[in-house]
Formats: sequence, structure tokens, C-alpha cells
Amino acid sequence: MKERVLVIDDDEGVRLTIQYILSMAGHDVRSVCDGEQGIGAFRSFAPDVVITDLIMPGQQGIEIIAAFKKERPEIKIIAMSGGARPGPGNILQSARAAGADDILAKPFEMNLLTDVVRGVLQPRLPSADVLRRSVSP
Amino acid sequence: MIWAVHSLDALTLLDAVADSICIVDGIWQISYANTHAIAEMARGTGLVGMDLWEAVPGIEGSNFGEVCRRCMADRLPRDVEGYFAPLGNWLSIRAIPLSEGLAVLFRTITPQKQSESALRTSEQRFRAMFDTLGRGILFYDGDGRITDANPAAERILGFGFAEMEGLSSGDARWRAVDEADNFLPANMHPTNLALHTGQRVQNFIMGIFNPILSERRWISVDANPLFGGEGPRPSQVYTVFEDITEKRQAEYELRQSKLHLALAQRVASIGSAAIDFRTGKWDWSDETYRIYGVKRESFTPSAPALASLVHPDDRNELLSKPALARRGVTPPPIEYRIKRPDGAERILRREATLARDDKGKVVGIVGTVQDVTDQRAAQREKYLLETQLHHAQRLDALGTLASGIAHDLNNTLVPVLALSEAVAKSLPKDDTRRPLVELIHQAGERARDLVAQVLAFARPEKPESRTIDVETLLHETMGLVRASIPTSIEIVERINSVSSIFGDAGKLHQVLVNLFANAASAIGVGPGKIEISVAETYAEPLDNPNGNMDFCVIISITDSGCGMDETTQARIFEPFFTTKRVGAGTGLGLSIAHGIVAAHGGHIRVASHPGRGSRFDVILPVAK
Repeated sequence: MKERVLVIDDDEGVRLTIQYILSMAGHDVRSVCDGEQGIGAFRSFAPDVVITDLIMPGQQGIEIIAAFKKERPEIKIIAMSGGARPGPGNILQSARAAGADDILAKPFEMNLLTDVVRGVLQPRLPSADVLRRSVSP
Repeated sequence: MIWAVHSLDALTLLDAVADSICIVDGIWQISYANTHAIAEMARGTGLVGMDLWEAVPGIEGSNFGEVCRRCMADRLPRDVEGYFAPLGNWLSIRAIPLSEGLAVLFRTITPQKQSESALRTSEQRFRAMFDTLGRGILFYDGDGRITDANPAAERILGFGFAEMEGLSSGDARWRAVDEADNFLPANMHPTNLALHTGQRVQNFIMGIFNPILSERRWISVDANPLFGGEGPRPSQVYTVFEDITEKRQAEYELRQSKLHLALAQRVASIGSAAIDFRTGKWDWSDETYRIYGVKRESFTPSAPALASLVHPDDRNELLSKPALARRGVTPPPIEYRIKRPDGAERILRREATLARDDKGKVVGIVGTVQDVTDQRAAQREKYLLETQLHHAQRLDALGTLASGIAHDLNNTLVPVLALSEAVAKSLPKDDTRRPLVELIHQAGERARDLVAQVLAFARPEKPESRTIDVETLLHETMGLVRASIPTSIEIVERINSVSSIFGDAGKLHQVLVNLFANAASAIGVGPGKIEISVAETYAEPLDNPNGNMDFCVIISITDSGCGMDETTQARIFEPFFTTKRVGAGTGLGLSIAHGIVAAHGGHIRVASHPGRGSRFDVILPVAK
């Protein structure tokens, strides 16, 4: 059975890219452009994994993570952002603290995306060191 | 009846009496006249036997005649004094009844009358003065008790004469105090001093309580002893005094006013100074002396004396002002430097105006002298802080802008990086389009790295905090740098051991490499020189916009390159600011270096001059 992935991002390029790559990787992907639509799709589409942007107009990613985790604690959530750098106190770390299972700094390589998704779906596998790989020295 | 027996002795006696004597019988016939009477009447011896009324023309109907008639009638002795016109003299007459007739004794009292009149006039004048004088006057008897007081005394003391009469000057009712407001004992009162010493007491200041005004009044007393009785002690004392309460108050206020002025000058650090062109005299206030750091006792202000204190560069301008003022030009405010005798250098500000006489002629300069050293230092500091704040705000705004752009660019780069990779993978290995797609991917990677650098400026990461040995750090840096610097550029290392710092060695390498690259770029093809040195110092607050340093390591990179003007220096830390030609640099190097050093709690200071090279100081706090 295909794992269902819900993508929430206000940037169409990001949505289409993720949708294409994860579909190619064999996932059932649906994407929406904001938190409100995200909640609707979360209930109707019943995804296994949610990939959400953190900085969007309207509802912010951190709130979405908290709301989804409250409604379905077993949901896997990947937080992503283009405005953050690794290190203490940055927004991706905050997302992790809010309940995100993994984080993804934009922009990312194709393989990193598929690795991260696979990682949250198969938690026994060692988690990719996403931070190190997402940032060049 | 004519006296039958005249003893020669009796006649001699009557002639020896000072008064003129006539004896008349019961029918007014003169029976005897002594030689004085004859001389007085200018009648010779013919007086005897004459009728009195005939012998003394004009006596009939006068007071004198009337007295004689009454005495004759009632046989009682009578005296009368008066002016007797026929003789043109004042006369005193005594009529004495005898067994028969009268003896009339008379004498001329004109001189006495004249002196009495003079005395009366004098007394009237004295009384008028006594009564109308503004000064109080009291008379005391030899026991020091009041015998007389003029109205002014009553008014000044607040007692009527009736209340004062008989009071001693030591009486408790005066509530007398001395000049220092202490109880004045009776023996110290000026009246008693004059009484006991016989000496005049002058300008004795004392306070008394005036019960009418119900307040303390101050009087200045002169006490004068009078010697009229027997013995060496004064028989009287009179005191003359005036009410000096208002005068004393005015003097007090003047003193206070002067004191306040001096205090105000002290507090404001503003002294006053005046030059009188007529006398050539300079007058400085106490504060002015203090400002110049000289003593009134040992320093006489004058042009040469002032010149000795003023900085040589400011001397001419300052000392040219009085000459201008003499020509009627109001001296503009001037600031000048002085060196006090104790070596302290201060900045003074002088403001002056012209002093003119009644006719408007310039007769001097009056002005103020203010020590503005601290104000000038504070202004300079404020200016520097404002500049730094402005700079920091601009960098901050640019940082916000940069982070916003970075966020959007990162989104944009998601399809570029991920899809180019996906497309490349989907193409056969020998597909000629594959390198093109890989090129897109590489361009995406470069863009991603650039954005990451912008974010590093915008939000510097908290650096790893490890203890770093600066000497090792610099040697490592030089190992990285040497290979990239052209051989035409000489590199001088003055690296020695200093205290360790905390931070991220990798990031600091990045900063130093960047600064070396800039130095080499400023020199160009050379020849030239880059020097790296390290020192440890105590950073002054002005060097320290972050306000959290004390002991610091300063790593300096000095080049002999083209240098920068101030406009360029002000902008070098801004992201994307570059002096290099388009494409030769991103303009991010120094802004990233700034971000990294700031994240280490330090800052970068630049000193440069066009054509004379640049020096960049990386100032980092010593590890504690």
C-alpha cells in the first residue's frame, strides 16, 4: 500500500517538486497551499506523513504541527523552512520541539527528501543527518 | 532824714559793694549814692539831695519805679529785672525798705542777659536738632540711667521716654545682643564702656528688640562720655545711634548674593573675567582662577600671564580679542585649550561682551569662562555612539532584508536543485543533455551557498565555543593564506603568544582569510606588503559598541594597498557592498566577517586612508 504524503507549502514550485519526487518514489502525494486547506486534507486524505512549511501566510507551521499531533499522535510530520540555518534557537529546532519527527532545510537535494520521508516512515532505520547534509560548508 | 552819723568805715564798705546803691527818704529824696551809682547815673556828686524821679529820668511809670513805690507803701522788699531803655541796659533792681525810706540796689546785667539769650538760642537749636535728628540720642547720668531721649530714640528703640527714663542700658528689656547675635552683658554695653573707661565708643553694633515693631533691630552706637562734675569719672554719657537694620540686611544680601554668585559659578563651572581698558586691570572671579588651575595669591591675570597657560596654537586668536574689542567689535565666543600648571589640559569657552561708559565709549570687556572639556568629550562620544548606532541599525535593516530575500530564494531553489537532479537521473548516461542539466544543478548549488552566506550575515550563528590558542589559529591561517597571495606581496608575521579566546576556529579562519584576500586585492599586482600582528590590550568603551569587553586580543592585518576614503569605510560591512568590479566579488566577505566577529562578542575596526593602505583590527574578548 502506498504511503500517503500531504504537502503544505505556499510556494507552488516547492509543492510541485515534492509531489513529483515523492510520486516517483512511489508515494501517494497531495499538496495544499496553506494551513486551512491542510487541516481539511489532513482529515479527508488521512495522510501517513505531513510535510509542512514553517513560514507561510496565515496559520504558521508550528501551530499546524501541534494541532495535527494532538489530533493524531501517530502522524509523522516533517517540518521544512528556507529561512533557517542549523544551530540552537533556529526555527527548525523549534519545530522539532513542537513535535516534528524530522526537519528539512530548503533547498534540498532529491535524495535527501526521499531519505527523510523514508526515515520517518521506518523509524528503526538510522535517521539521516539532515542538517549536515542540507548545508554546505 | 539825712543820716546824722556816717561812719567812714560804713561808707567805704558801701563803695566796695559791687552793686550801685541809692538811699532815698520817705519823700523820695536821695540821701546817699555810692560811687557805683554815681558812675552808673553819670551824675557826679550832684545826686544827693535830688528827687529820685527827677534824678533818674524815665523811672517814673517803669517797672522799676513801680517796685520802688510798692516797697515804700507796704514795706516789703522787692526785686525786678528788666531792660531800662533810658540807660540802654538790662538792670536788676532790689528795693529794700529802711526805717525811713528805701535802699535801692541795682546793677547792670546786660552781659549776663546777652549770654543767657545766646544760651537759650543755643539750647533751642540744640533741642530742635535733638528732637528732629534721624539718629537716636539718649542721655545717661553718671550711674548709667537714662535721663533724656529724643523722638528718634523712642522710634528706633520702640519705647516712649516715659518708659525709658531711669532705665539702665543693661536692662533686660532691651534684649540686647552683640553683632554675632550673642547675649550682650551689661558691662559690655557701649554706655557702660564709655562710663567706666571715660573713652568714646564708636560704631558699636548691637541688636535690640523693638516691642512696637515686635522685631529685632540692629543699631550702630557711638557713646560719648561728658565730664562736668568732680573727679575723673564722666558725669554723663550720651549715646548717638542709628538703625542699621535695613543697611545690615542689604549688606547681608549683598554678601549672600556674592556668595551665591560664587557658588553658582562653582557649580556651573563658569567663571567671570573682566578687563578694564582705562586701568588695564584684569579681574577674575574665584571660579575663573579655579578653572585655570592657578591661585589668586600667586597669579596676577594679564595678557602675558594668560598666554603662558593657553595652548600655543590658540594663543594668538585668544589674545587678539581685546584689541578688537577696543575698536568696538564684540568678541565672538571662542574655545581654546589651556594647560594648567598641574599639567591638566582643558578646553575653555569664553563668551564676552563690551563694557561701555555712560557715553557709550568702550571701556572694557566683561565675559564668562567655562570649562567645556567634559561637554566636548561627551558630545564627541555621543556623536560616535550615534554613528555606531546608525551603522548598526543600517546593518540590522539590511540583515532583515537579506534574510527575507534568502527565504524566498531558498524556496525558489527547491525545484532547481531537486528537479535538475531528478531530470539528470532520468536521462541516459550518455545523453548529451545530461551535462547541461548538471550545470543547472551546480548553479543551484552555488546559489544555495550564496544564500547561506547571506543568512550567516543576517543571523550569525552562535559560534562553537571552544578555547582557541590565538598563536596556533594565526599560524594555521597563514598556512591557508600563503599559497593564495601573489609572491610580489611580502608577508610579515608578528605573531606571538597572547591569551586564549573562546570561539569557533573555523569561522575565525574564514574571517582572517577574507581579510587577507581583501588586503591582497587592495595591493593588486604589487609589489606590496601585508603584515599580521597580534596584541593584547584593554579595550576602551569607545572601541566597543557591544559594551561587553574588557581585556581583548587584537589581530591586526595591515596592507600597503590603495586604502579607502571615509565614505567607503562607512559601508564596507554592508552586504553586497563591493569596490571590486562586477563579478569579481560578492560584497559579502566583510559583512559575513562582521557577523562572525560580532557573534564572538567582538568587532572589527578599520583604519584607512586613500593611498596609504588599510589596517583591519579584529578585536576579540579574552577567554575568562
